[in-house]
Amino acid sequence: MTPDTNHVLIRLENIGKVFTTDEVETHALSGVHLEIRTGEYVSIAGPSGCGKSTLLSIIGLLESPSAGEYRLKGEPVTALAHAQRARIRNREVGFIFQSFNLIGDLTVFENVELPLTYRGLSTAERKQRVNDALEQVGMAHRTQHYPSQLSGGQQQRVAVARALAGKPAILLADEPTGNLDSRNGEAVMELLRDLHRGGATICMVTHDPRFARHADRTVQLFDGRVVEESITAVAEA
Amino acid sequence: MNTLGQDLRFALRLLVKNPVFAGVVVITLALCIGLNTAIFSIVNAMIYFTLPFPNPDRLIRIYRTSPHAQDWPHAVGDYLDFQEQNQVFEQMAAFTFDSPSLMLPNHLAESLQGMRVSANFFDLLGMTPRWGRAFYADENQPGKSLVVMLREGFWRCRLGGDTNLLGRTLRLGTNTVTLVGIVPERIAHFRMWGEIDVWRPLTIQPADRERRDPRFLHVLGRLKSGVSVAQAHANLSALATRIAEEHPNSFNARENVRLKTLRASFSNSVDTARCHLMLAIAGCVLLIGCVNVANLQLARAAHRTREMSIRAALGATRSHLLRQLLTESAVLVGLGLGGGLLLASWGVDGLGRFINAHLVQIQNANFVHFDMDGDVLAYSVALAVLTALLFGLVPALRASRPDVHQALKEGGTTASASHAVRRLRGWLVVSEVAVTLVLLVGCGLFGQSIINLLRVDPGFQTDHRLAMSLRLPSQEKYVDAAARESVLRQLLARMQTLPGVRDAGFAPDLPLWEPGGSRFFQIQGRPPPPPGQTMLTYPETVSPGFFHLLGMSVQRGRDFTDQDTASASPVVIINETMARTFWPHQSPLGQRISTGHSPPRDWAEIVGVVNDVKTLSSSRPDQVLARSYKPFWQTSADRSWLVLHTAVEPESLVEAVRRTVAELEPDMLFNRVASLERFIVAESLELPIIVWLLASFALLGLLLAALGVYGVIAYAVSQRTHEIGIRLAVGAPRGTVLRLLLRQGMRPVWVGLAVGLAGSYVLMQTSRAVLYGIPVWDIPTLTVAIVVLVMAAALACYLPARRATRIEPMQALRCE
Repeated sequence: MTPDTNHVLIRLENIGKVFTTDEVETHALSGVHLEIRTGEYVSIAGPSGCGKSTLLSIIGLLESPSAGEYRLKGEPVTALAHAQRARIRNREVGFIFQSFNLIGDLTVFENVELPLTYRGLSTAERKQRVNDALEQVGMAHRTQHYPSQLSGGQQQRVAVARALAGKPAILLADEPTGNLDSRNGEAVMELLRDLHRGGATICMVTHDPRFARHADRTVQLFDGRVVEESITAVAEA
Repeated sequence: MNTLGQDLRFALRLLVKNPVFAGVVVITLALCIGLNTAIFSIVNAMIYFTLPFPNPDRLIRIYRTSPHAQDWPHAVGDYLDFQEQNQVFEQMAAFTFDSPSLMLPNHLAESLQGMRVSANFFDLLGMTPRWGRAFYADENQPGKSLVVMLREGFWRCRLGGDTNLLGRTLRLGTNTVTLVGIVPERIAHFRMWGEIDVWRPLTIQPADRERRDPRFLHVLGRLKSGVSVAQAHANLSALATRIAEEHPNSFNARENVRLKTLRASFSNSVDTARCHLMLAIAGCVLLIGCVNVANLQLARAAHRTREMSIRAALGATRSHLLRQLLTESAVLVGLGLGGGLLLASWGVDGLGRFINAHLVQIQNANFVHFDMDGDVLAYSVALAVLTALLFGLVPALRASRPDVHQALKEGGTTASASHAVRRLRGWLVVSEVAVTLVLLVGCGLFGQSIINLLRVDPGFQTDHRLAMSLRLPSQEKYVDAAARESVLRQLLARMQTLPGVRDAGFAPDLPLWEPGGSRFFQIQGRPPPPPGQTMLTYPETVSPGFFHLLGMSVQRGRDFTDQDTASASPVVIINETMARTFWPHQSPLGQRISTGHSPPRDWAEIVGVVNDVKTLSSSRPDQVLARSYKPFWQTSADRSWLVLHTAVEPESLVEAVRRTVAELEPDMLFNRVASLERFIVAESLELPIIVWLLASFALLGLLLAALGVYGVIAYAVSQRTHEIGIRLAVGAPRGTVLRLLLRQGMRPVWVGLAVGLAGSYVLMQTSRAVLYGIPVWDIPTLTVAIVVLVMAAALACYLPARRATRIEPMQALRCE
């Protein structure tokens, strides 16, 4: 990936999200403005329930905003049909989840290959990309293992490989260290930092200030609103 | 294709990793598909079979109709007029049935099933001989017809399949005939003409050219290309009208023609209705099975929400997910289909062997085959696709729309069923119970109807009776009627003195069968019936004492005696129905009737009234025919049934009887010998088979439904373990919680019963035409079906509820 910090990759304008259940409305997000440029490493921080994951889901096109406009690569994506959203998600977004979310009945190789199969790539190209991604995260020696045969840290590496394999425009990481011990957590964060150095655009949700500092910029959420944006010390350094 | 391959691999891997789930589903589907395939292969052989001839839709049977019959044959004159003057058929051909005796050197005479056919019969059908040739046109002429064609199976089995026999001669009765051709075996489908062994040319005498009576020719034609059945009917109908006008004194006056495709002519409405009812019942079992599997799939889908969400998050569209899920269903159905075909194959093979084992002794036949042919396979595959859609589509549609954000946030491996899924599962129970009730009621009604038929008192006794078919050899010495009577009287006398025999008698037909034909009759002194009305009787012939021999009773007048011979005054005995119908207010004794053609000339005096007999093969045995019986010795039969009333087990006398016959006349044809009870069983063989099949359907359906309800309730209760723990923790008595779970579990069962009751009512009303002895509302059947179903459902609810309420509260609370 070639960093192009002048290019706005993601633009959220006045985004709001309301969940309605049994006549009760929950305002998860309101009036959120956010820009993420190509090659940037942004962390979204805030207390539990402040809307971090909801914001990440909207960025990742897993949720539609109730209000506002969302542009990805300059194109409006707010009102796209499900199939179009799935296609963009498949090509432009790589997800890394807190609980890894690997499919237990698929091998490491098949898990990493999964998003590529939905893209209709040839077998040879899929194989090449999967091997490259696993090589990149240091898991090429475990291709035929099942997730249950791996440690938490290894599972998260596989999840990162899966996110990378599609060569997405942005990596979205939702508490990627939440289910890991500190050593494995650090290792994953190091991996993300390496990827960023390689040019990857990353948006990470975390409530841990230690990991938030790895990002170029931290967006602080509270009660569904952006209350602070700051350039982190590491980035400044 | 790549992703399809991956979907397939993944589906197989899932099945291997979940053997219990896969096993239950595959076994359920195999049973349901196997059952339906087996039934369809029977139905296919019975009513949907394909004629083994080219362009079979253009093959038409032509029947003569009258005010009282729709399917009668034709006179020679009428047939020839139709053949020469019609403008709609490429060809017309006529045929009759006969049963010639085959005389092979060093073998006893053997009776064959035969047809006499027009020379163009095989050409019309589009059938070429396997070896040799068909008949030449001039072989229908008298003196040139001593040629014969044999069925391939018969030729192989009885004559060793020797092609050198072509052109050689055989003895059929008194005739020496030349074998000219071998007919392919495919002509012998049991639903067509039966297992015909031999075909000979139909001989039409020049003197018969203008005869409008008797009517014995069956006629079929091949339509010209582009001519519809309606056009053909219009053409032949106009011809029939013209013929009737040209012959005003013949029966043609009130007659017309009716056309049926040859294919339709081999079906009857009772068999068709029974077959459709069986298919519908088997379909109910399939539906129940599908609902069960759908329930399992829904439960499994709940456990796979996270997996579906991951796939969606990674860019899988809904169609990707649907394809994945439907591929998994297809794999299950594929395995179920394989198992089902195996089960069906065993089932129909066993059924065929069972039927043939009962038929072979009494019909010299072994020809009932239920083939798993292309049609059956196509049906099974279509059924499997439908099954996959039925049980796979709804769960797949639901599972393909996961709440990705929520599922991934929870991060767990299971997800609680949503309200919509719970409601859907409730409706599945409703539909399962409703279909099961309809199934149970349907099986109950149909089974009760069959049992009613089997319990019908035929009006004669069958135990300790031995029956056999006899035929005098076609020899010069028996041309004279007196000679025939003499040898038959001698045979009767010897039989009556045979140890173990109480009595013996002759009748050309056994009373358990539908009579061979009806005749108009007139009553002396009464004017002929007005146009449009006819008086019909079904004539039979019996020897003196035959009624007593069969346990029938002459209720008024007298039985026949040995003095009722050809030289004595003609006499007749009628049955109660005939007496009641035509002499409702007076005694028929002493009245004289004639079944001769106009003008009446053979008046016979009614000397007795005998009780009615009912034919078991009839779907309406309460509709008794007006029968009239003539004395055997006043006829001149060369063939008859001999019936013995025995003091011992009847079939133990077979050898003694055979020896006695051979001592008297070695060339006498003697076959189809069995106890009358065995004939009765064979005559209505399909009835107990249907009862057994119905019982199997009902049991399988009930078992599947109970398992289905159990599965749903067990799953629902397991989802509520935490709630149950809270209730128990706050002091709710276990009995109260159990009752709550039972009440809630049974709620969809009650709704299902209400829906099923409505369906049962519709079933009762629509199937009454094929049910015998069933009231409008069969309350006992309904009650039994409901009670059985409620008990099964209650048990299915009780077991998981009881298990749930026995759990310790803290253990239940930790289940969240």
